[in-house]
Amino acid sequence: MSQTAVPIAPPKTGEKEKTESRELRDRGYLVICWNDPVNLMVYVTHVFQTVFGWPKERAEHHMMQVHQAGKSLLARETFEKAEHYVHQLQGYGLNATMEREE
Amino acid sequence: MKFIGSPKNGIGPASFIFQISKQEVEWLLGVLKFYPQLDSTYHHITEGAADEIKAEQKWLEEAMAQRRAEHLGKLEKFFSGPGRFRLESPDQFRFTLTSEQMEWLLQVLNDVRVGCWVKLGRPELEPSPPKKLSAHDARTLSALELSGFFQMVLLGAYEGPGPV
Repeated sequence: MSQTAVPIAPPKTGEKEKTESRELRDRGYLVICWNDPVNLMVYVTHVFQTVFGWPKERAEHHMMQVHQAGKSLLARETFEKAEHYVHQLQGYGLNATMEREE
Repeated sequence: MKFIGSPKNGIGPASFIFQISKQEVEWLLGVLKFYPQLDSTYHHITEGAADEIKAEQKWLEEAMAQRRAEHLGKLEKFFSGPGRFRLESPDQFRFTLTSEQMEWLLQVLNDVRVGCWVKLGRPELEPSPPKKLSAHDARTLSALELSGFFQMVLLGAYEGPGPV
């Protein structure tokens, strides 16, 4: 795992218990990373490690999914957390979006 | 340019030392002059029905614009300071980056890489980049390739020094 893979924590809001039960119900937003021919594979792996705090193996798995399948589902989250992750990923220049789960 | 090592401080590497040639310093500073390349229109919060979340799309664009402004400030501060590159020999310098500096420099370099790619018309880059280019496009392609080179060196530092 990268020595600097410090996860960028999503924002914390409200009362904990209330938020947790609501989060479970509201986790209907998907964070998806889409393929492009310009972002370097090793860079994409690094970004996944940094943003999500994943070990290198998991980050590489998703990077390969993006590369081979054209996209990878990175997270299923609440609206706010999904938005947070998309901001982080796009800040790194990755083509990431949030989609409402059908 | 190559990664030399990280000073030991007992809790992991807090900084990264690089050796860089005089020519590479010129290339690095030249590439950084291309920043920023991406504009707000590049960023999309969703592939789906964007009309439903117009406010979020606007917020994303504002957040990216703010990030670009912060990075420009950091670039100016970092590279305009005296002694950033310490002379080691007539043709070699050393310079040091903290973990935090590594991260924003990676983002800056990637903005140049992706932005240049967009400006070239989003071509396929493998197995080879486009061959018929104007002089302007050739400079853009050079910046794209050089930013990738510097990204690879920075990312390689996270893996530790290579074989001597």
